[in-house]
Parts: sequence; structure tokens; C-alpha cells
Amino acid sequence: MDSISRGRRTFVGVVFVMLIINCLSVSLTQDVKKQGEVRGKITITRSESDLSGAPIIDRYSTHRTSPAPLGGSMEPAPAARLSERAVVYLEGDALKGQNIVPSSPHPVLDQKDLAFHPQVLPILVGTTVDFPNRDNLFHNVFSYSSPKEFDLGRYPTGDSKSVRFDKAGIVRVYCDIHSHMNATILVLENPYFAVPDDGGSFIIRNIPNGTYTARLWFGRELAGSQSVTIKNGETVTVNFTY
Amino acid sequence: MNRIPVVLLLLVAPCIQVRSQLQASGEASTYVLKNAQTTSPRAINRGNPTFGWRFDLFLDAKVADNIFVLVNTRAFQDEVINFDYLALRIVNLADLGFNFQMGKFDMPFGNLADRRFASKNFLYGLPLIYEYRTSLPDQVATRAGVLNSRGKGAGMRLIDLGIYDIGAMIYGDVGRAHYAVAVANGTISSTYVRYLNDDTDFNKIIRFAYTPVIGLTLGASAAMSAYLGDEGKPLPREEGSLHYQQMIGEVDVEFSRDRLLFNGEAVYSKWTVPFENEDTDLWALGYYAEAKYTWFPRFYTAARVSGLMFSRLQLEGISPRWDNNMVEIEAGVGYHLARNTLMKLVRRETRTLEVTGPIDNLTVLQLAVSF
Repeated sequence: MDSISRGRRTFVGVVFVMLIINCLSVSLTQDVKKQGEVRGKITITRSESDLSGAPIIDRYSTHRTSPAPLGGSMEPAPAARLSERAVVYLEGDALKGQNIVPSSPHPVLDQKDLAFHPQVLPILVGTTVDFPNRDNLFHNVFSYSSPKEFDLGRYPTGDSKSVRFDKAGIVRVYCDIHSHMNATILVLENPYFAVPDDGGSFIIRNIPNGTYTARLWFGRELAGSQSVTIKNGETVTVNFTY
Repeated sequence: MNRIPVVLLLLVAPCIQVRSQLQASGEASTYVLKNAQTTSPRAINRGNPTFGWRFDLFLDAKVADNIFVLVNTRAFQDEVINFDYLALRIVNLADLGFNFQMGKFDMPFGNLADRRFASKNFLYGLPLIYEYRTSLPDQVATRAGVLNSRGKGAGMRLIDLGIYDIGAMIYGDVGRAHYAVAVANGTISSTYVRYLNDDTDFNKIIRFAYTPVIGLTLGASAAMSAYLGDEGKPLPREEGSLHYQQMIGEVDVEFSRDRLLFNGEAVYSKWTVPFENEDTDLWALGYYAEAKYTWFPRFYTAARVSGLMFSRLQLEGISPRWDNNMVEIEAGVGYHLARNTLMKLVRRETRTLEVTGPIDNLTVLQLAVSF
């Protein structure tokens, strides 16, 4: 009697486990179908002079006591690659409240050749960013933006300081010594963003079904927005021209 | 004053971004201040509280890869337009590794640099060596005349405000060293910013600075020139005006690390003066030390101590100083309302030493915006 009962319980248990596995399998298959992609290309039509601005000349460098470029001509660094100054990201209510795991190791905002690299850095809320100084002079990185105010002071070549960003928003970063240096940190609430390659192509993967706004951030400003709807895990193409 | 050039500049400014080789920038500052009601020549508006403003417009033109035209204009509430800077700059002249500049610009003497502007000045005023007018004129004078002018603010400054002058300069860098050599119409204490040179002498200026480690720079400058203008009284002796020279030298230091900035400078100047009976050397020593500390983003405190000391003059058995020794303390707080908008509250106390002189103080609230 006990052995029959034990066998029946075992059978029921096996069936139950199989049912669960089956359900999970179906669920996972459905989840995959719910995740789509946004692909696209960014085309820049503006001239480099429009994008980079005019030369900035330090007329008092002749007795400035910290090393300055020859003649005090502090022109913007050579045009940054597209991958350093463009980001495409999605916004939408359905994407909020997700369990976000900030990236590790820390993203880096370099100070090199009297410029920030990259010029636009997308990060997730809760991420810590490192700010190494790779120039042979002082920089003083600071921001007065409301998501995060900070002032890192002056530190020499090879040193680095870090800042954690706990609030979503746009953080504009400057150097107190070199006024032409600027960068933007986009503190985002979801992981659905992409940095394009230097040809302008980008892919945002594993996007849940839904309707969102795809935004292009270029340099210091929001350069474009488009509505995008993901259905049945399909791939949607979104192109930007700026 | 001729405002036409500036009006034209202002009209052109909105169009400047059309061409990437041109750039307009500037600074506007406004303040409200209250000076002590005192007889000090430095007292502003006779001690009555007042508002005031200053506007600077900078125009940069890049006319070739290594050739620039730089223009600064400045105006105060009296609406008189000044051209502080109008220079042609050639970078890496003929690939020789140095730069050349000619026109009107700030002389390479000292390390004031862009702290002369409100948005870069931690405080309100400049150190005494840049502002205080001594009792020595740049014209022929008598002993009694110099002594009677003590504390009246009628003579030369030790360093003439922004030391903008008309001349030419070669400058450059060799590793961590920086050098500049310039000649100009006027002198360090009496710049000829509005006039052509009125004697056969040029001011000769040399500056050297060295940065042993990032954040610490040591500098030294020296200059020499005849300083007497030809429009005053005739010289009392045969020697021409070239005999009466100003020799001036200075050392300076700039240190910064983390959130602390420090600047210091000491200046020594000697003038050979053609008094009635004999030529006499008068000297003055000036100094300042200032520091700024940023406590947290947007907010800083700063303080400066500056002073002047003068040599003694022989006169009928007594040997008074040819001007009164001075000391000044200026301290304040600054708060950045935005990246380019700075609000400062500053208090300044000025004392005349050794003799009973006017006690001067100043409280000022200043707002500076750069663009």
C-alpha cells in the first residue's frame, strides 16, 4: 500500500515538474518574441564648423602660469568621432521601474588633449563614472546640473576621481580652468540605449513590446525624436538626420 | 568718445557665428557698493552707496591658421568706450617655435592674467600694487610736491592697472618654461595707452616662468624704461629724460591643488627722480598674497593681503617716507548661480601705516556674467 502510494506521489510529482518546465519553456519562448530591436543610422549633414564652434583664443596666456598650447590658441580638439558624441536612447513609461544593474567596471570620462572623451556619455542611474586626467596639466571638472552637482578640484596627470549618479537627467560637465571643455552625461532610467559606430549605425536590442520615443542626443543637445512601436519582437528601423 | 567702432562690433556680433573663424565673447558685471565716508583717494563715490556696472566685449578673428586678431573693448557706467586690446598675433612665427604679437595688449609683467576680470577675480578689487596711486608723478616734481601728494592718489601706480600698452612681444614655451620679451611705449607704472611714445626710449620687458610640477609655477619679470613725460616742467639739469629711468622687477608664484588656489607676487621698483638739487633714487616695494578655497560646488571663500612700502626722502633734516606705507585686507564669499554667473560679497579694509591716515573700507555685492 505504501509503495503504491509512494509511486503515485512520485508520478504526480514528475508530472508536476514537467508541467512547470513546459510552462516555463512556453513563457520563455513568448518572452523572446516580446523583445524586438531598433536599428538605424545617423546621418550628419551639418558642417564640422557648425558642430565644433569657433576657435577660442586665450589672449592672456602670455603670462598664464600654467602650461598653455603654443600661442595660447586653445582651439577645440579635432572633431570627435561620431561614436564619441552621439547616443540614441528610448524613453517610455513601460520601461520605467525595471531592475537596473549599473555597469561594471565604471564608465570613463577622460580628460585628454584639452577635451573630454567621449563628449556624450550614456549611463544608467546608480552608475559611478571615473574622471581620469590624462593631460599634462590641471583640469577642474565640475557640474552644477540638478541631477548631480559636483566639483572635483584640481588633480594631476594620472590621477582619477569618481562620481556616482543616483538621479536620472542631463548632467553637463565642464572644466573650470579650460572653459571650452564640455561634455554631457545622460543618466538614463533604462538600459535601452546605444552608441553608434563611427559610420552612424546603431542597434538597441532586447526591447519589450510597446510604444516608445527614440531620441538622438548629439554633442550638447537633443538632436531628434521619433516615435517607435515594437510588436511581436520585430525589428524596427529608425533613422536620424542632423 | 568714439563709440562707432564698438557699435559696429555689437552690430556684427550676432552675425559672427556665421563664419567659424570669428568669435565674440565677453563679460558683464554689475555691483552695489558702500565705501566708508573718508578722505582716502580710493574712496568710491565719496562714501555714498552706489550701483555701477562694467562691460567687456572680446572679439577674436582667426585670419589664417596661425594668425589672429584680438580685440577687447571695455566700458563702465560712464559709458566711455576703451580699447584695452587690439593686437595681431602670429603663432609659431615662420616655424621658429615662438610667437609674435604686436599692437595694444597686456604687458608680460606679473601673473595677474585674466583675474583682472570680475568673473575670474576671486574678490572685487585688484591688489594695491595695481590700484594705489603713489605720490610720484611721471613728470618733473619737487621733494615738497611729492611729500605733499602723499595719500592723495595723484601719481603713478606701481603697476598701471591692467598694464595694457602699445608694443610688440615675442613669447613661447620650452618644455615647462615660458618666456616673453616685449618692448612698449610706456612704462610699467605709466602705460601710454592712448598716446604715441613721447620720448626716444621704449619700455623693455622680460618675463620668465617655470612650472616644476603641475600646479606650481614660479615667475619673474623685469622692466626698464625712461618714465618722464615730455609735457611737464623742464628738467633741472643737463641730462635728458632718458637718464631718468624706472627699473622694476617682480617675482610671483601660483599654486593650486584640489580645491585650493593661491597667488602671490612681490614687486620692487626704483625711479631716478630729478629733484631740484640732485637726482634721487626712490623705491617702493609692493606685495600681495591671495587664496581661494571651494568648499562645495558653487561656493567658495577667498582672502587677500596686499601692501606697499616706500623708501625715505631727505628733506631739511627729516627723512619721511615719500609715500605712506599701506596695507589692505580683502575677503569675501562667492557663489555661482550658474556656470557663467558669479555672485560675490566682499569686504575690504585699507590702512595707512606709521602716520595717521584715512581709514578706508568698502563693502560690495557684485554679480558677474561671462558669455
